[in-house]
Amino acid sequence: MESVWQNMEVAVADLPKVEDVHFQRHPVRYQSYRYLLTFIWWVLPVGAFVVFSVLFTDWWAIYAGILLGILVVLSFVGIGIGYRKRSYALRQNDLTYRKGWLFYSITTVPFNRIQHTEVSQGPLERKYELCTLNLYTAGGSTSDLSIPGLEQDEAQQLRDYIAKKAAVHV
Amino acid sequence: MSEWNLTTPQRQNPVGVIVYILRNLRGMVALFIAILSIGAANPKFWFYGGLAIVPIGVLITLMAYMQYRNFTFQVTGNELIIRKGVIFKNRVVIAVDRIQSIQITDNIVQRVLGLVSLKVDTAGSKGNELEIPALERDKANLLKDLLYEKKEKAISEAISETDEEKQPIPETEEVPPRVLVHLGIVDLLKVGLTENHLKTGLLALAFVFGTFSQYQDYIDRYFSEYYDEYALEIANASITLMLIFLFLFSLFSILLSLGRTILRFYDLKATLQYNAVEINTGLLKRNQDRIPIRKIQFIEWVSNPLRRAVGFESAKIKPSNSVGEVTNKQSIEIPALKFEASGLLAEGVFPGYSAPSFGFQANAAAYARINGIAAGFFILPAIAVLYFYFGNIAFLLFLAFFPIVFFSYQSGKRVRVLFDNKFLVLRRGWVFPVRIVMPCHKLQVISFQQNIFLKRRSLCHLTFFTAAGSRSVRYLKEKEAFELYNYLMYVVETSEEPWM
Repeated sequence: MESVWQNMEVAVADLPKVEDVHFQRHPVRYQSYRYLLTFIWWVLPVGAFVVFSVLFTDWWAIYAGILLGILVVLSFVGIGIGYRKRSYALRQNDLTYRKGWLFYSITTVPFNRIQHTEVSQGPLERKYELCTLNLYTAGGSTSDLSIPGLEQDEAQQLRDYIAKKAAVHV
Repeated sequence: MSEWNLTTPQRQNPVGVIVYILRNLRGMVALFIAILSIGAANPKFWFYGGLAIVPIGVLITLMAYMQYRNFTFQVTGNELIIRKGVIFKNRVVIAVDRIQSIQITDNIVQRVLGLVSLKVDTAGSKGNELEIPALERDKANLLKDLLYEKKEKAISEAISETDEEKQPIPETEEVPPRVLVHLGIVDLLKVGLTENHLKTGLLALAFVFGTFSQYQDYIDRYFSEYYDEYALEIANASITLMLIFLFLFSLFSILLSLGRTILRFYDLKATLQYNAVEINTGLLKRNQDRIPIRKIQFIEWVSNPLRRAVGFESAKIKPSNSVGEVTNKQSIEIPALKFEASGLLAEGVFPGYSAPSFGFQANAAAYARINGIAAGFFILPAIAVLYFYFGNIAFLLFLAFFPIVFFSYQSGKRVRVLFDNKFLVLRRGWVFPVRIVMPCHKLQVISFQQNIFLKRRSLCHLTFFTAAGSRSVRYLKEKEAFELYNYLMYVVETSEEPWM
């Protein structure tokens, strides 16, 4: 066995660096999609608040309104800033996705640990001609990665490429 | 070899009807209680209720019989096929190579009837739906062995099909099973007394209150008049009562952990075989767990000062699991390992294991800071409220910051991640030290997290995902974290070893 096994020296400093890879942004209309999504998300809570404060006008309603307003504005501003952060990078052996403005994260999934892949499209995404790429790993949903807001062709191509790479290892 | 031919549809043992009857009854307990508490006040209730028992009993028995009758299982080719269901018919097909583990358990009813339950755990199935609840023990063992045998064969065939250049898997010589631990009565008591009593007590309390509030409506109906008297007394004797309560709570917690330990870990025997860890444990409900070594994603050792004092530590073995985060059921705990047995376990499960010596340390000050701030959210409002009642003395509460910050700093100082090209070791904790050993090639995903406050200080968190759940290291230096991130990605992507 020992003759087969090799242990090459690894120069840690020369390893490919995930932080220096060229990252690909989403199409610009993904921003509009997110604005619409966020708008729809807020309709119910803001509507409920307005009805409530009209029915029971009270001093605290003003403060609560200000707080809610800040949250709403922040969530919209966040989309703009977050858009510039949100991007993916494809390498030979893995896919990296980074996102977040207040809470920034970088996640890498190596292809040899992917169980299956899937491209999905919700009704709102269909309107914007966007797709979501889902990468599933073993052992439940915590380590699955999904990349929303991809061009349809792009998502399909990515999926095919990754599926081919993943299949080699299974 | 035996009178059973498992390749044809098999029914369970007919006595199993009793198991089903009891299961159906158990499912209806809540309903019975509800009906009882609504109707008990009505005298006619008892008459009609008594009459109703007969048809209900017949119905339950009939249902149980049909459940038994419609339940068949068979092993055809490389598949275990289970058919079941009375109203909704169900056919479950499990490919043998998808089977993660097989458990044989019995509860007290099953033991009286001489039956066992066989549970099949697969990746991707929800809970323990794949259960054959009423088998003779011999038949269960036969089925278990047959499934494992088929599974090994299916896997080795798949390997030889995919790449023929690879050498055949070397025949592992039969190493005699090594006993990791066999708990005697004295050791069992030691384990019971060194449990985390506070946790047990609080859990029990939560359970009692949970159940209490569930039935509060019914209880209120009958006892509401006594409430007021008691409330008055409680108010009068609150301090005495508090002390008595504390004493009782401690006593109760200790007894409870002791009882729980004896029930769970009576005659615990953990053995290490050449391809699996096997654990037999339990007093009334004897559990047999067998985890194939290649399914084990990582092992987590935990301890507390008491347990360390008696020379034990606990190991939680985490196999690749089916749904979501690892629930406690899916991790197997060995509560009392002598330190040398810990080493034996690590080397047995992860061949060639030696603790890596190179690694990074977390920023201890960051732990102290974040816990100090979190404590501030409770302490400052508390001071404000207390100042209102007691005046300047409330400021004494500021002193609470010191132990919190001190403890956080001390445990933060011990957070480190050690690694080499084979193993990743995460350590943390001061009073309750935790040590996690994870082979690098078992990693599935790595994630780097940083919020805007951490960015300013160039700190970050790293999360390591495996098929058995994830573990994080917080407050690492950004530069070192990326170094580790890139290195581990390199190791995972160049690894050819199977990880599941």
